[in-house]
Amino acid sequence: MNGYCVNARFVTRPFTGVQRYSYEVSLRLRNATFIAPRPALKEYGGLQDRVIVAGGRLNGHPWEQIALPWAIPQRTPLFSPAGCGPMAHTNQVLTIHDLGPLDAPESYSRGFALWYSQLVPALARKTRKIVTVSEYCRRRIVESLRVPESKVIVAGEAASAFFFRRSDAEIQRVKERFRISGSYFLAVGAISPRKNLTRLLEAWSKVIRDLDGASLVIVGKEGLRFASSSILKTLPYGVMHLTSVDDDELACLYSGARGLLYPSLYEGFGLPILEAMASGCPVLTSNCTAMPEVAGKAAVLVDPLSVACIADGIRMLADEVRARDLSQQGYKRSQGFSWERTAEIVENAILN
Amino acid sequence: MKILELVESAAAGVGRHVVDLTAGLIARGHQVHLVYSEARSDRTFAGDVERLQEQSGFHSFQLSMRQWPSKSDVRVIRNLRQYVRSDGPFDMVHCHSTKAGLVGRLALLGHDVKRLYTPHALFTMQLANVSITKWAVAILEASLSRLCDRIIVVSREEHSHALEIGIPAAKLSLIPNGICLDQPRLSASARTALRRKWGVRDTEVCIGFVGRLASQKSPQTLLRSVAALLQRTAAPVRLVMIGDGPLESSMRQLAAELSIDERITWLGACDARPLMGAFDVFALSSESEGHSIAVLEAMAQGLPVVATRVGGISETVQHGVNGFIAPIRGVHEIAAALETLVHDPALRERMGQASRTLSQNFSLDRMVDQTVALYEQVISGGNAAIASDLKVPVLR
Repeated sequence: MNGYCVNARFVTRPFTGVQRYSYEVSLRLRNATFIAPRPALKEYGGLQDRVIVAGGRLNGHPWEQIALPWAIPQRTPLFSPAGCGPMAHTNQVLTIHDLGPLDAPESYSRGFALWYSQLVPALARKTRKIVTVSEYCRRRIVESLRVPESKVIVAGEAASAFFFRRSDAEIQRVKERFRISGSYFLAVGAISPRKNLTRLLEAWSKVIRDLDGASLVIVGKEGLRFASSSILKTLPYGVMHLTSVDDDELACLYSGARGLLYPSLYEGFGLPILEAMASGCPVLTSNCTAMPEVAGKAAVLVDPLSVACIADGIRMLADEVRARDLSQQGYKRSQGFSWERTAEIVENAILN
Repeated sequence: MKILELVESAAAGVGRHVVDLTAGLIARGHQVHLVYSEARSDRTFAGDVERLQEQSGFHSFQLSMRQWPSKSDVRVIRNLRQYVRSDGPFDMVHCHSTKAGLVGRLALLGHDVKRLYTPHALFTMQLANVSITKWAVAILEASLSRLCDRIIVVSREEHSHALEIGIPAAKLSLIPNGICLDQPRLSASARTALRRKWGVRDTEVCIGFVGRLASQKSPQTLLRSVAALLQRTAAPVRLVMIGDGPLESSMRQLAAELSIDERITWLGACDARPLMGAFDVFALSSESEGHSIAVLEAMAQGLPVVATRVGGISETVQHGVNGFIAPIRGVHEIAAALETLVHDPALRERMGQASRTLSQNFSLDRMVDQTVALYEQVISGGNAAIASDLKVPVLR
């Protein structure tokens, strides 16, 4: 009997990065039984009829900690893909996406950071195996959660299937929809301090004159209650902020952009790097945390703390020959990552 | 029984369904009053209604409705009440699609008549993740569900979506759509002519795709699968794509990038029913579906099906029996399934036969019979007593 269960609490929550990972991996787990507190939301197509609703009326964390361990036999392997799992189930494989709340607590609400800093280290020690998304995270987990190195496995993420180079006609339609004229650079990610938007905008204002009228399009929902969201209220001329962009539109925006500007301060993986690369968009990103590992040599790497360095990086991307070269290298790089591979590693970790 | 069928958007899928149901009910000796809005009905529907007029036991009444809630709805509701009073009493009022469901259920407040509602894909299923409209409509649907005796959903996906937005399980009945399976089989010569026109060589296996080229259908997954298949083996395949949509130009570009454009024939949007018989394999790579009619039509034509695991598919396609089910976005699984079928003509033949047999479960007769059975259950008043749902028979 090689069946196992998946803690599918994520199917009741709206899509973000963690949900994307959980969904893409889950789709590819063949022998899994998915257990969730409520039926899957519509966006989890393909999982709806595989999800078993169990555990009575509880929902959220109480469901995960109390109802879920009751619902599955103690010996059955459990996979918790969304960064949190039941303390009471030890035969568990847990995915830890990053240690953001420990490493950069200022990006999270104080309550969440405190709760996380109590739960996750204890959970990490209890579970049988930990899957994480990059070598950087693996190092951080071993160092700061004090778990043996052999317990932590790396399985990278990948760009989803709808990120591919879109046709000019489709790109044009999307540009018109968002009233973007001419060439543009793209910045993506929830508006939070760790995305380093303040320095990016500062660097942007320095190089804007050399970019012959290119604009900067920022795509991302506003973060919880962050100081930096105020910078969006006074956007400089030529910078626009889009909040509701669907998957296809984002793929088109990547495909049509002159470059992705992603000088984030902290990333456990940095999925937008691969998504841009898969769409043929040249990438600028930071030389710290997991980003260099994901981008490899196929992106311009900058020091995110230095405005001058970011500005130089943007100038490099603006060079057409360089950009074309990066776009090709990036595309090749992105094809080396696949969700199939991720799911395979995860499944091995669960079953062995 | 004397039944009132109420429909607003009488075009395309819903119109077809209502006409089929009406014809089936009349054929079974029931009386049907069809109340519809001419504003959103198409020529096919008008022609069908004209044909139905010749049958005894059929009455039709035009009642113009707007798609969105408007002031005219007050008049609509008044007229509807009047109609029910003057031509009634009805044993059953059956509302089809969102708008008719809204006015039908509101208009009959206080009337002692049994009410059914078929949303034909709940409106909220099309809306973005967490939009305000979605929650507003969801709350509306959930509260309106009290005003009818039963809600008919057409797939398990719609069923679980209905539960998710708060419609009580006891109100829901699952009756998959039925289709007209009388599409004549292609003659051998017509089939050869079509295949020649598409550029399918005699040695080639023809994989067919029918659907809008939009992200919901994920055509890129199919293109990638075919590319993966060709990378693994030099399989003699030709992909025939029927349909157009926003992704069309991007798809052609992607095909060129994957260097499979020489293996693809793009037919654009056209009626696929008379063409499907010329395929060897039917492929569907959707990320979401209500209850795919195209798959049923392909099955009726005796085609093995390779499909992703979306709404309704697990009820129609049985993995390993009449085709293969792959996970959504499962490029490798789809490629592997196609490879198996491409290299094994005997398997295609066997699975095609199974498809034809299974497709009988989705015949119009089955749909009408189940609907009539539900009418009778509801009329006899056993509401809570019907725990066991109407099940689709499956071939084991």
